[in-house]
Amino acid sequence: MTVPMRAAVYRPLRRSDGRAARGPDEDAFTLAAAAIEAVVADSSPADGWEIVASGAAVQVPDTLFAGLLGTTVRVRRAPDTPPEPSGPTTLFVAVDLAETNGVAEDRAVVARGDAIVAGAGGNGPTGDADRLIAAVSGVSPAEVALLGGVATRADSERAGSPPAGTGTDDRSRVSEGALLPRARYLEGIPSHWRFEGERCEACGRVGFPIRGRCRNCGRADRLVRERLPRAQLPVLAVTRIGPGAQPTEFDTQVERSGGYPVVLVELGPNARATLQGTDGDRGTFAIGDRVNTALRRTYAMEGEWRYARKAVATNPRT
Amino acid sequence: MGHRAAVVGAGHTRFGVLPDGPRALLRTAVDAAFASVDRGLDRGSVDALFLASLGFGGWQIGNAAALAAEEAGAPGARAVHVENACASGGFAIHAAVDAIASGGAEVALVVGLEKMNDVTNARRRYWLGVSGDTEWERPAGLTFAGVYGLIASRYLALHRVGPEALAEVAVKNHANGALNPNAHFQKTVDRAAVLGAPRVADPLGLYDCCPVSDGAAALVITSPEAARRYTDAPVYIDGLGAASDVLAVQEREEPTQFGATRRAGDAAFRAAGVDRGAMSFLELHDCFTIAELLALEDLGFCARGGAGPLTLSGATRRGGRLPVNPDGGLKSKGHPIGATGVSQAYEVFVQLRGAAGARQVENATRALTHNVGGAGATAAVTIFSTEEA
Repeated sequence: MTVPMRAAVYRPLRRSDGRAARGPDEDAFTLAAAAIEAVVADSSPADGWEIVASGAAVQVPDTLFAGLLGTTVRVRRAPDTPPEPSGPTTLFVAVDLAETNGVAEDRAVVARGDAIVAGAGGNGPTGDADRLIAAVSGVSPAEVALLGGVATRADSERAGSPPAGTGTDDRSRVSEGALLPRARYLEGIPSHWRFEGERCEACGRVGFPIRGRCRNCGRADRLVRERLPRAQLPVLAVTRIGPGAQPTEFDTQVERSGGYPVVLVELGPNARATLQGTDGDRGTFAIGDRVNTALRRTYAMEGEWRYARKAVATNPRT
Repeated sequence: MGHRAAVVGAGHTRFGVLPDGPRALLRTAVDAAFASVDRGLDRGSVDALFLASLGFGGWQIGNAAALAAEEAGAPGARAVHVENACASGGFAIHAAVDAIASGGAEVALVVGLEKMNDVTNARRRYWLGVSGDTEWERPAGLTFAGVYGLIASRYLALHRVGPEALAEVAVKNHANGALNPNAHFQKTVDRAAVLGAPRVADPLGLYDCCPVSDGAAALVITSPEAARRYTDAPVYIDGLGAASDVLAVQEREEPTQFGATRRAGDAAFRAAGVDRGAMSFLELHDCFTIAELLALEDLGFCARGGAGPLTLSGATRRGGRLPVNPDGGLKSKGHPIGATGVSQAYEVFVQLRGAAGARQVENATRALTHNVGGAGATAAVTIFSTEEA
């Protein structure tokens, strides 16, 4: 099964005011990177297993192929867990770039044992479909669940539909959420994922998120992109969303976790961001704390997972 | 300053989880409004109708005003749908007053309506979120309860106020709502119950949040000159103020201050030519308990950080020196989105005419309504009086 990553590479556009849209391949890269990062971060290992992730994101220059190559996710038994006699001990995922219309075939990466390696492929400037393709072999349904949002070839061939618990059922749900169309989602990626703001060279003000016009002096012709801090951000406000207070696109998350924190953090003067906090045993959030951020899977809409930066507590629970 | 317009009739349905459909709610409120006009008023004389509604659930989003005119028995009137989220009612009143002041109408009908309990829980939460910021707040997992929870957390920390101040808002408004036969909740609660209730969006608990209500309210508004043809006790509209703010709270200079409310309030007082001390009572937009505290400060009735102590002192109770929400507010009376701003004006109408029964504020001659859209993105403030110009 392939996981569609439509329009991860998209055609150059001109905005209504004549300005060129951002370059196409940058976001293709980020989409793929986020997908993999989210898979690693948000997967819930089966009992007795844990995930150890390492790797590096690369973008292949001068091509539309952009992805995350070399990321390795080792799935290993947690300490003190008795060996499982019949189960496989590794996941084995290959990036099947043969299905990407020939682009970057020579860059196909085949996983080694104990590893998941994935990438994104593009079919060039004439197409509108990029995809993240992953294949899995030799895994049981319980272990497929480790993959979170990445559906697998093994699943589709075996059952014809995503197995329960993989998260792909959420992706297929009809969203009752406020619609954030894919085009707007993509448009917001620089600010949402990379915390890019825009500095007005006319008045000096840094605006966030990107609006294409200075909030202070109104000029649109003197704006330059500027990346704002993504770590050690002071918390200005914090809440914890309980059952019933979540938007419907977060229903499954609340059913599983009972709720989640949301924080308002300061990125700099005139620049703040509202972020969901990562939960679990990683720590707590309080006003005055400083938090880090990480790209995470957030919710499903229009048949695919959406990703955004989440706050990560820096005061682990004891 | 002279009067801008006059309310000569007002009607109200009960608020709550009701079996009535939208058409029935409209009819009930409008019929009650016309029935309250002391010397009667021919519905054919309605020049303009303004319907306030979010179109909750997707019911008749398009051309809803024509349907309202049909149900109001004024099918030939100029009819307009006004939508500014939870502030739709306040802005619809302003639109009617503007129509009268411009000479475009002599008699206007304002109807606020929302039918919120016809839909599934999931769809209801979808509609409760459509008026917030969908680029940042919603994708972070916030509905308005969460947005106000963030604001409340910062307010309590910034001003070193305890959650008791929030709880007191709920206790007071439930006590008032218990005396209002139209209220969604007609029961009192004590502070321990509020503080011990399940958390919705910390620090806000169940009793810090207004309910999801069905209901409608209607006003018959005329020019000041025409009012005396219909009643000897008109309630005059003396000052209007309305403003907006950036949609996302994260982009505001200080999340605990609603600039739209401050600007709307200042404009309304300037227009009415009266001081804040002249108000007999206030109808404030308390969709969450924290919102009432913010409004007291943004409207200038106390200093920043002063709303908690003011509330805890009992000053905002019905018998206090500055009664707030004698009808129970959104918190207890309910919050059918489009109807709320009109319902606030209904309360002013009955209070200033001495017809509020058990919840009557003594010697009430002037009042203010404050209606907010979302988390402060829009605000409409209106000042009423019974005094002759």
